[in-house]
Amino acid sequence: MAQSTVNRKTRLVALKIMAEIERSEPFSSVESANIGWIKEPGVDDPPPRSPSSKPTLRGEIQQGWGYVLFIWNLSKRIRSWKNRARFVLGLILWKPILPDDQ
Amino acid sequence: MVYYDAQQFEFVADLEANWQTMQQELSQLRPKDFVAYPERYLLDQNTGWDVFGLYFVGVKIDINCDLCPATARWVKSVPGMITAGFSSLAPGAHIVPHSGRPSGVLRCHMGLVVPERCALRVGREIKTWKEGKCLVFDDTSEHEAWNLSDRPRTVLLLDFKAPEGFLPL
Repeated sequence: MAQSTVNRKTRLVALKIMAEIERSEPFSSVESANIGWIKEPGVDDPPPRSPSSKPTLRGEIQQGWGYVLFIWNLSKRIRSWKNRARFVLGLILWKPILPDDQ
Repeated sequence: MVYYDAQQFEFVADLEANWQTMQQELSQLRPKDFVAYPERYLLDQNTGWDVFGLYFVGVKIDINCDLCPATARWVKSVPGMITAGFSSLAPGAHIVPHSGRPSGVLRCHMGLVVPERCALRVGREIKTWKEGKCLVFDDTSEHEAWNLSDRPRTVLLLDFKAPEGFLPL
């Protein structure tokens, strides 16, 4: 029961993080502008992208689950609860929120 | 400006002088030490992008730092270091064009395992990673990366607070 509550809470935190740390938005303004690349000799042009597919609920759930696993797997490797909390809050805010402990 | 001259950052010389130690520590890691980077929507198709974090948003990932003590020590010495770790891009992977939100940081990549046909585009400029060499760029500029080889590409990834005057206001 307690484990189930913890799991539910972890999922809720992860979903919140997913909503809030949408830090990077894919787009391609340079590509669409067809600007010549500046590159070293012999370097490939960027590969073409696959045609984008419609976002699906299943995809969204997989994405959310990916965040949960990411947070869980890294949290397991942090020893103190205080630093685990800093890690999660830091991800939500996407910045270090407290001075590092020495 | 998108790419910066890496040599103007004092820590770069130290990192580059010790890249082989870091590469050696990387080579001792097991696949299960890496975790899948969660922003899968940045990947064209479902190819792999895994990370081994040493510091995330300023928090030490203790067990990982124990596994790579020299690397952890070097990245810890970087002024303003916020996030550091190994970033491994699977064969065939393509991180599509995207742009980070302004957060006052610059990103450094140092090549550790760099096969042929891997590159990083920032703005209009495409560069290849070289083993033991750093690329520093502003990740708020549109960028994308790809690995068209048949081996993983791994870099040391480092976010650090941009020194005053390095980022546009």
